[in-house]
Amino acid sequence: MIVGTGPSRAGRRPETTFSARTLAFIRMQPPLHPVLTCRFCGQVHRAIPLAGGEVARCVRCAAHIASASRWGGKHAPASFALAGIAFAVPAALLPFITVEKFGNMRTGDFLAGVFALDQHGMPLLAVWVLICGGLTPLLLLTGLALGWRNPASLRWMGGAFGDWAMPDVYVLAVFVALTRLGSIVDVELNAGFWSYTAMSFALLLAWRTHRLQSNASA
Amino acid sequence: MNPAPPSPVSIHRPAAFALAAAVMLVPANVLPIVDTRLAGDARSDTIWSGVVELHESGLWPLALVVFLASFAIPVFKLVGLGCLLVAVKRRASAIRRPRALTRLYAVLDEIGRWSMLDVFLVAFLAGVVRFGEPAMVVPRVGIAAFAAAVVFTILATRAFDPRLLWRDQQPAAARPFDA
Repeated sequence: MIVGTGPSRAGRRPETTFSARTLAFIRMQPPLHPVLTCRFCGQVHRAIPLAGGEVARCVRCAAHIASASRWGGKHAPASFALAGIAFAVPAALLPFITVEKFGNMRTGDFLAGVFALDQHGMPLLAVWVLICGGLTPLLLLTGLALGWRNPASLRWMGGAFGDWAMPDVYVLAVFVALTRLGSIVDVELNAGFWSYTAMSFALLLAWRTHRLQSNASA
Repeated sequence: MNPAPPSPVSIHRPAAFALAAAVMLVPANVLPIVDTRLAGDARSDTIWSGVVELHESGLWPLALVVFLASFAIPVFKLVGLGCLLVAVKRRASAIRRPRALTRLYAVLDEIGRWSMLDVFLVAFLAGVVRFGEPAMVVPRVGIAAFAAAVVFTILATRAFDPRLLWRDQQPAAARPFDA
């Protein structure tokens, strides 16, 4: 090979430096230990496996960053999530409560509340209640049921939507409504409400067991 | 592996959301949230008169729950967020009690959703009590304002980056946590 000294080759970089590609490859190597970053203060910890029932706290801000479940294996979150999805069907279809007044019977369910808001000129609020009480819990349940192989995308989903799933708040609201109605009309709780409550608990358990696992193995 | 350090701009966003929430709390508390018609007797309730009515009809545990969810939690959240923002804004050097403030943030992050109780309550009642003239529950505009205030407080806590509290603190040595 003939090495010229013309101006076109003068600017060539010496061959001994790493190419940009090599550097990127070196940076992408995983660290020696799995790393766990505190979500409150950013302190970096070396992650170690926890024994069942153990809790890990941040060494700097004392926030609870991981704990190991006493029960439930790898498939616990998906199992709870599937149970939650199964309960969601009757929760959406069956009446929550039956009220009787002046010989009139009327049932109320989750969607009736949403439609009532829409009818009274608050479509945005209706959509919001539907999202917080119905759609987001279902989305999280579906994600937990399907996505147990991919903890990173589940963690993203939890961060993006976790705050907006409020079935437990809705359950408490129905209890308050029930007590309030009980003083003026005859009220009876129906299967739809119990299904909804079960769905809410299943989501809680699925999310909790998932979080314990994903933190401990991060 | 440390995430990108929080930028100084990042306290403007939670401050703006908190301010929006404070503004929306005014119509939420002044305007009626729900109209109730029962056997010819019509009444219009605000958040506060609803709590008082529950208390007067002897349902004080219920009154306490609704008071906490609709009154105490939004106010506590706004005051707490204010404290956090002031602490971050004021100190050029390290913040004095980052642990306590971090715990405050964790609490604010946890309790915010329970404020939605009143919104769900009105939505559910409006869906059930539809007997026409004899008994009717109609949601009013105050509940929409209240829902907006709750959403803004949740957005404000989400936008606040608690790592700001630890900006200039020394990283802790690798030692087991004691007390």
